[in-house]
Amino acid sequence: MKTTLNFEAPSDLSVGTIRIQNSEQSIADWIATPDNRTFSTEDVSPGIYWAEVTPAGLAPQSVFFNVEEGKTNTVTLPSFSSLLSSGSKISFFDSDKQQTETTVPPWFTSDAAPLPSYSEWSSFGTTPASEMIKTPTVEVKRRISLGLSEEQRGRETFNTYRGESKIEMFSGRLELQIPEDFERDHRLGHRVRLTSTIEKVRIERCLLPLYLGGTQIMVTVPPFAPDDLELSITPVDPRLRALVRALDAGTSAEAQTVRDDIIHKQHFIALSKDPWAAMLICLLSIRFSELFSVQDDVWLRSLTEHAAWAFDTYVIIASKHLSAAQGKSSQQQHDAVSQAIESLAKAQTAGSPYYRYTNQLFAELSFGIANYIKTNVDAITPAIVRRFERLNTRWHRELPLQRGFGPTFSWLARDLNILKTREVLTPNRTPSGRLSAHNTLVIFQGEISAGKITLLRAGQKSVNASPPPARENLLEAAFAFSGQLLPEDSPELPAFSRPVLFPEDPNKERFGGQMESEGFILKVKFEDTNSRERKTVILTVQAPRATNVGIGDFAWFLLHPTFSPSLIKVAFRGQKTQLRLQAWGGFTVGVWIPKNKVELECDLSNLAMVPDIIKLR
Amino acid sequence: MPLLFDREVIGPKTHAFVIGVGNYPFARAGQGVSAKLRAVPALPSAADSAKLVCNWLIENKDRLAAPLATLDVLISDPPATENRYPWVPAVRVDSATVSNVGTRGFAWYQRLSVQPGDVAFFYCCGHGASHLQQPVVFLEDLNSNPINLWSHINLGELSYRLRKHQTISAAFLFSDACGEFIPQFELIKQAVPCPFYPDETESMFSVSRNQVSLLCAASENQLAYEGPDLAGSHLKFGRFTQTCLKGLSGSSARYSRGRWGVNSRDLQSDLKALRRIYFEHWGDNEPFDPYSAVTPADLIPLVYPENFELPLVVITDPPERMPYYDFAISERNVPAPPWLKNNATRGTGPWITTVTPGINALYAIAIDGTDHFSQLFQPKEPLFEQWVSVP
Repeated sequence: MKTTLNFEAPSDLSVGTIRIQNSEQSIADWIATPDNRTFSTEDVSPGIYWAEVTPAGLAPQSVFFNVEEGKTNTVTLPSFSSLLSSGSKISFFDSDKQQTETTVPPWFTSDAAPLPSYSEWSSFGTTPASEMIKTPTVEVKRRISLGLSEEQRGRETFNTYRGESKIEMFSGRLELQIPEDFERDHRLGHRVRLTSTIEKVRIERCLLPLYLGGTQIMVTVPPFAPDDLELSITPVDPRLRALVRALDAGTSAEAQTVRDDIIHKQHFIALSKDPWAAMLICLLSIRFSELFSVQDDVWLRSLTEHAAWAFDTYVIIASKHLSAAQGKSSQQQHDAVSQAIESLAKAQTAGSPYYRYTNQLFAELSFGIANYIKTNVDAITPAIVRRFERLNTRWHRELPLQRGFGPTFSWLARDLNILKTREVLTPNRTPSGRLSAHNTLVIFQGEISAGKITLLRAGQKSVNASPPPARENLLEAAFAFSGQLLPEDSPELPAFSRPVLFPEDPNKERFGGQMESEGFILKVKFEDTNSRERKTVILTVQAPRATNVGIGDFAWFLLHPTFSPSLIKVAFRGQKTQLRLQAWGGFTVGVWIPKNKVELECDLSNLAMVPDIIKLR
Repeated sequence: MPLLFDREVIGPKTHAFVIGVGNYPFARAGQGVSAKLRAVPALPSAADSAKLVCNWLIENKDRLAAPLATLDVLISDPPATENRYPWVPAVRVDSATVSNVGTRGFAWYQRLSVQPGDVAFFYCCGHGASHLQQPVVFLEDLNSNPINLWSHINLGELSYRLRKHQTISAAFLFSDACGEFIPQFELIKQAVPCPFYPDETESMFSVSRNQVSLLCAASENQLAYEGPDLAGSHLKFGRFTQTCLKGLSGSSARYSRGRWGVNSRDLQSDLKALRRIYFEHWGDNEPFDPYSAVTPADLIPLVYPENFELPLVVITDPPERMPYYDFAISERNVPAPPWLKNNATRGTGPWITTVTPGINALYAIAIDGTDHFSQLFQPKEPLFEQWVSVP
């Protein structure tokens, strides 16, 4: 019997390196893309292997698996997003259950799969007298809000975004998804702006690309302090995400693979109407100019056709004008500089860039042109020179607070008081962490502390201001509260097929009424907050020890509709999943665990030892 | 002037240029041209930071991915005060004036242009600002010349020149300075940076090479700060400098292609966590927000560190259960000594420690009496978030 290995990398991998190895050798090492994620061999030695998966720009995850002799061994890894949320850089694939777990399996021994011989510099086995590093003791908490606004037709002002969002929570991480809006015509260029505000830290804004297939916003809270919170914006479609990763963090080899496996594939042309895909490809062709040829200029034409409203488009055109003039006559170079200036001026008229690399290009082009004009001032039309001087001045004036995260260009809100009193542009370092709802769709409001994200219930005033919805509209109201979308797999919730019996508490008696079922237990714990008006509610679902919880397993939590969002997908870590809330007033929490078909329910106001602020309001 | 360090190296080599500006004699009360520029304090920590970097380069001369061949240094040192970094250079060190930077910088640029494949290392520290969104560092003769009051180096321009340089294999630039927005400086069109590279307008049409990294201590309008090297110490250096050197010395190392290396991208992504781990005594009152102004395309290692430990942060899941457990790092999944490291303080925060990059996977163990919960990990990179699930 042959010993066969069929390996499949995470389905959400965009571009990254995969190495499959055992203690003796590497049996596969390639740059994977969405259509090139598998590896098969019919002649593999049995034993323990591990696959190291390293998406471009991200830390690697290792999954160990056991290849059994004389068998067809199939290893299908879960999504990289799930691996990332496992809390460990190492996990183990169980071939019997076909799932990945963090629990160390019986077949694993740590010396059975050593890393390739590292040199050792100091001896092991000693107990240090004292730790050299002091552990911080004060926990800092910050309120955080995220919101979306949309450019009004024909104006540079922003109003409330009229789309939808959905949310998933992992330990220390939040993923918001803006699904593709099929009704939207990108050629109209109604740009969408994301605003994030962190209490006493900053208000940060960026333009949000609305990728084909949807856009994902990820919020990660580092384990040390909430001020170091990280945002990232990526396409949901892994092929488009590969373009973003390659531009932001790709090596030359990864960019080449993206070019060959994605951009040059026939089916990718279908994405040519996505203006952000065209922008990314054009930016890649500038950053990795040695890898792209003239034939890739088809994307520039697509960009001009579909995204004439974007800052990035004109910076790309300006760059192309200049690079095309390399080695040409002086007059041709003068003309190229003039054309580049015209394009940069159009870019400014368009507002702000989507991508940080575009901003870097703008700065680089402006600097080069300024120097060129110094030595060739008589060769450029005076009106063009003046135009350049104006755009250079305006560029400086309009973007003094620029920032960025990952590939995304962003800017900080200024402190208007300091601007008035001292005429100095300074970031607003004392925001409240709240967003005004009058021109912004708030898609998340919560509190962050080291490694933790807590969901906040809307204040009493805002809840009381709107009349309670009619019974038949309650389900819709739950999702319409802030444009929250009904998640794709949520219709599986059996509770949704049951009638709402208590309009003020719509989850009550719709999830079986029990806090324990099939060994799963819903635990509730209350903690004080800084405010007497709220309590922190920690909801934990504990799986029975005998139940195999795999990486990527999750539970749905359904809260009162006054939470934004109110339906939340929360991933298991180990044997439990946990959701933290800050709340006032009693309501019923419903839980659905789809893999095990288990429902749990808890009316907070009926719990023993429930705080008054929960029980009496 | 002789270089601080100079030796023959066969093959790719590093040419380093270090500038520390801690003295601004024309920018103090009663001195200089403009009254508006007479309140710039001396910055001893900037001079000391440059010395620290020089020492680090020499100590690691053979660990650099391209071994150190030359090191030139200019330091404007303020008058001696207490709590200064003791440093006795092998040669006389000149001050960081426009004239010296122009001459010595151009010599550095020329050294880089001799042998294809060489590596550039540039470090500067001093009072800084942003000019047209480019990070700049002011030189000693700030406010001395009425024609050019704002004598400075423009890091953005330098990185642009190096991106157009067609023969260097990589350039690593570090700037430990504020990105302050100074309206008077911003509005001056004659703010000419100190040039030490050829002015090649034709290069605008040539492709930029993506092997340049520019890490800055603070982005535009942000301030950079100094901080003591240890809790209770009075010896201060730039916070960005200290954190970068910590990472370059191994705390930011990754295992790749058979070696432990530190590249600028990993270093940049680790800086905030390293600052939290090793320099918690700086407190939270001032922001620490370094950024990468120019990122290289490829993960080119700057240094292959040796004799280092990797940071490890162990947290219970859920985090509020931390005070209920002792913790240990062990080669075995057993809640009994011998430990590699252990902690029995039962504090509320994460357990922050270090581990030796070892051969085998290790266990992080949370211990409560006879019960224990463990998580396997491989110490092959900094681990800032190693969770152990507990009830």
